Amino acid sequence: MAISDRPGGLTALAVLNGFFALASGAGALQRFIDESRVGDHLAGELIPGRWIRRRIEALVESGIEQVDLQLLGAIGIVAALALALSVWGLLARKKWAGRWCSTVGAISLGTVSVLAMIWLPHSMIRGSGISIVRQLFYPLFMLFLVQVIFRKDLVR
Amino acid sequence: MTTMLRQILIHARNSMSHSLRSGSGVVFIVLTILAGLALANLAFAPIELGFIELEQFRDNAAQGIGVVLSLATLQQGDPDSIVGRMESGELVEMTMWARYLVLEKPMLLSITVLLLGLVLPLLLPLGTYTAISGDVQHRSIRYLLPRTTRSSLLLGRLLGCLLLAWMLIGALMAAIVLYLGIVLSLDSWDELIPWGLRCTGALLFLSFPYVCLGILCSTICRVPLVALFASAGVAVAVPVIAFSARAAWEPLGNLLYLLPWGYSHQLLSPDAQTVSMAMLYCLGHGLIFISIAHHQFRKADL
Repeated sequence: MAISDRPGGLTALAVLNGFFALASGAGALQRFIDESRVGDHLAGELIPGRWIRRRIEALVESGIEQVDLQLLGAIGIVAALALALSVWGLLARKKWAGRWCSTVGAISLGTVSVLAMIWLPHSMIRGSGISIVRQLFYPLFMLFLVQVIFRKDLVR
Repeated sequence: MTTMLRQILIHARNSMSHSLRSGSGVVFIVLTILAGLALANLAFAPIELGFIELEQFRDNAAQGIGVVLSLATLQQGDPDSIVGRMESGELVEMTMWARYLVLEKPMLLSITVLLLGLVLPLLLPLGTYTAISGDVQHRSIRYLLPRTTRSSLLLGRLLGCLLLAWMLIGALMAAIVLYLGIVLSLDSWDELIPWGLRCTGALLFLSFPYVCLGILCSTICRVPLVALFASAGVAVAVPVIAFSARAAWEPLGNLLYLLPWGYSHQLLSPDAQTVSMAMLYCLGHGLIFISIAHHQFRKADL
């Protein structure tokens, strides 16, 4: 078996991207479910479950609109798909699938974090503002790695 | 001498560049920053989200830090009895020290740095475990040694690991201080910047012995993962064994001084002489570790 000359950092980045793709996909799914429940709540239907009802009431009180939740979900799905594709791209050292899907994934992840900070109530962000800084760190670091450090490795 | 210095700098630069391209380096950077910001979040969240009043948080923090300082300085008794002794005015020095960190200095920054001081010893081995053992395992060290000396290779790798760790700590502290100054604004910039610089200096000194310990383990163990478990295991085992053994026989608590656990908190002491001594201990500890690593590496059959 031939020894791979792929830098270990690309493998690590692929694993991390896979993890963030799953997290982003789950987050996006949650936004779509929230959007549907907010619609039901506004239509006067009773939401089952005390915790879920509180969550939906907090969302409605924060003034967020259904279209905002749909937008958050859609960008989250874009991030999840781009990051999932980038896992294969990084492992195979592909220029488009590796470098550019990572870039699209990073920008989408960052956008979701910033929009969530602006639109969602504090109780839902689950943390203080510095947790947003923490969420923004990985996309920025990934951009630096794929566009600067591994630029010459992702050329196929 | 100039040639050796040049070689050390080249090895340091290559080590840092390799760290950014290697899996261990990427994981080290991501985990250190994410864990550091998570600890900051842990300290800031109660105030920022309004779970507790500022004054109540200050009182609780002063008491908690007092207990931690008392335990770290091997005071007798369990945490409950230490609280009682602090309230009865017995442990005046610890109470004053805790109040200095919480009342006289930016409280949230002090708490974050104390938490970082507990977690950094477990994260730093991630940045050092492949420094020597990675090349030994892949046998690529055989291609390096005809072109350089073992001493300059070891010192260059040490310098590279140190600079990377210091840059990460610097970036982390800059992010925390900027956040505290711009978003929370509980303390003025005149208080935040000098204390931020001092805390960063304390963490830089604290990282030196742990990076040297990581290099020592990487030199002794030929398999990188074994080196990682050895350095992280030693960092965890020393306080666990010291506190367990102390329950059996009081003087065994001094095992804590095998690593900087016993004096690292003194880097944030209000007394300048205590701080200077703690800095010297950190340097001494690091020099001992790197001397053993140097001796081991020079006589190793590679």
